[in-house]
Amino acid sequence: MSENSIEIVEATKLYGKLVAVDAVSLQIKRGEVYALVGANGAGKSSLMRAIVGLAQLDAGRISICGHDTKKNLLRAKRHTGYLPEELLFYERLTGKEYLRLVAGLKEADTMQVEDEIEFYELKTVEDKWIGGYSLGMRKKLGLAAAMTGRPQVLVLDEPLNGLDVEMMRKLRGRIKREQERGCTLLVSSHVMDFVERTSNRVGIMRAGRLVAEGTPEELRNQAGLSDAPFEDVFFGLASGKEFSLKSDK
Amino acid sequence: MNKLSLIVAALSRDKVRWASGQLYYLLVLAPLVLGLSYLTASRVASNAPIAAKPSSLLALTLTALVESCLILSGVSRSATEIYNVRLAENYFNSLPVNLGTHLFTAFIKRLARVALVLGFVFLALRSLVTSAADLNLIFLFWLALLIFLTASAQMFAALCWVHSHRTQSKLALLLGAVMLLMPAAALGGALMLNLVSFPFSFPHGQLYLLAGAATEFFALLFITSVLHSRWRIFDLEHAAMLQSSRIANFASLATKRLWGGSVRTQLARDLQLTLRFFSARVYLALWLAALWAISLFVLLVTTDLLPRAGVARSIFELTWSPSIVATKVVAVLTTATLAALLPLLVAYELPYLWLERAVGVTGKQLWQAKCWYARIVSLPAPLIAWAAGASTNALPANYIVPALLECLWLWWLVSTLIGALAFEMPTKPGLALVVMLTFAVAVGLFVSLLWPVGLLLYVFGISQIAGRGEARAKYFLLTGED
Repeated sequence: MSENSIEIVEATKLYGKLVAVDAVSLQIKRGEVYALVGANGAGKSSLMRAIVGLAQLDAGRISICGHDTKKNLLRAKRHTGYLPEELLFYERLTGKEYLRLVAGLKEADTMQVEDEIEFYELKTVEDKWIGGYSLGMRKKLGLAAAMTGRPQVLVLDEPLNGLDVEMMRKLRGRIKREQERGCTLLVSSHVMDFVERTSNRVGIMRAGRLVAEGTPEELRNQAGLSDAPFEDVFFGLASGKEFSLKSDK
Repeated sequence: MNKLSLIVAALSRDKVRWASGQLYYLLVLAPLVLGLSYLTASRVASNAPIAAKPSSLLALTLTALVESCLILSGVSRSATEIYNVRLAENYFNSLPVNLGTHLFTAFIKRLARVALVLGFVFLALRSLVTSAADLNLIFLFWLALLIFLTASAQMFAALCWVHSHRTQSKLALLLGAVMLLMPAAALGGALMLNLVSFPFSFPHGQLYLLAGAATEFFALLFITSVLHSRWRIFDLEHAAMLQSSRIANFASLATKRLWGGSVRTQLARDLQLTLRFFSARVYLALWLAALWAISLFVLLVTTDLLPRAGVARSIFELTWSPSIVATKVVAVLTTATLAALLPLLVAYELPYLWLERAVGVTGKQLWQAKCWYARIVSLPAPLIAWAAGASTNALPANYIVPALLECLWLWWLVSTLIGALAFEMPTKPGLALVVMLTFAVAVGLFVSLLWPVGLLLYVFGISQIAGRGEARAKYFLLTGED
């Protein structure tokens, strides 16, 4: 088997005349955490949706753990856990019932549901209807659903939205542990501190294209901003020109 | 199979819990409204003069038309069930769930909805027509066959409808769809006739019907399954993006000059949403409205059931002549049919009402927008009915203009009543539809016979109805609850 868990070759996604993803190619190794960053509409979510089989590419190909998503989508999905940006649940199921349903559909051990509920601190609301959950609780439920079944590839679209600081910290630790067991993670986020501290490599997208890629350190060097916050590095590379808080003033 | 049962169990649990929160509506209000409608219908049926039995061909044509309306009415909803992009099931698209499971989940949902509607209608019809609600197994078998056939036809039509937005060969798709749906409509019509005790006169009729309907059902199911596995991944996104911008922009421009401020903006939005999201229901409403007008035309042209009014009679005599009353009745029914889009729109907009709340829209503005919406979408109704009557010479020359005015008056009354009830039960569009139509059609029919009384009622009653409508809208804006 290839050492790359995710392989994307010349992936292109169009919405009418709009090019959402423009010939993006990237490989993510097994056990690697790869962060996708970019402005809203840069194409991150479209690329992620194509990876998990929710959208069809207009050109190019994607393979997950060696399974081409066009030829073997069902097998590719067996290895994947996904947190969508927009969370839709059965409002009148309880959190626990929902996770058991997801575990059943993933053919995973339902005993893991208890562990996920414990980890995401959903114990007090596990028997309450999801319709009554706050935004943070919904996000935690979505994360628990994505991680149920211990998939080999985790695709997390904006995992931090709605989470409190404590849970963000806890999630960072969880991502580290998932990485250690060999799981590959593709994460999109606007929180640059999280991106820098969590990921092995970062890809910056702009207008559907991957405009810069490398380790956080390599990107710093590329932008020539070794001591500036990572946010400035992102702005510098994403806009194609150097940008810092100082120059902004 | 295991995954299908898991999803169906979750769906059922979700629905049962929803129902447990709606006990008043489901156990008291709905049976009351439906029961009263049934009793009224049975009274009318028992007092109605025995009409000449229509020929088998005419009866089959009419029921096939009804079945085709039924198929069309489920297309939009069926598309959202198959391509579940706005439902909780959307997440399952990223899980290792095969395409057949997605399709059969949608099919089970469709079956449940169709069974609920057709089950009630045909049990009621059978007891009205045969005067005995004998629930034998054969009747239930034919009913089940009709339900399966209708649900599979709706799903096939929904697949074709969504795919038509993406494919280049639209004509071929349309022809293919029509070739499969026309027999489905004809067989569905024949099954309907069979259910209301209208046995076929030719030998072995029921055997042929059984074979035909079963074959058509399995063919539809098989073809739907094959097409779904080919198209799903490509059509999933198109299903979420079905929009129509050119007509919607025209709607926006048309409203710009007529109303001011918030009402105008809301009205433009409502008309845009109607054109963009309810296309199948709009087609259905237009079709039904046309059906009323065609029925009037056929009745006036081909039968002598409605005696023509003489030109020499005075205007006050003419208003109660049968052909003119029939024209007015059709105006009422057509108006109600088109204005019935309102509760669907209100239910669709509920999750997005935070915008109105946030920008300080008043209850009066909200209510006015919905009232004008009902009036605008039903505006063609009086013109269609009047044109149908006038084109058959049923309206004497000296009553052409008064008839138009009467039809316009009935349109204004019925659409205003439906608009006024917009926020009576906004979270339950099905029930709201029944209540609104029962009330507005009853008042409309009464006024079509006794318009002077109707004028008095309107003058003295409309301010109270408007006040109630505004108060309900305001209450709903403040609480967000029904």
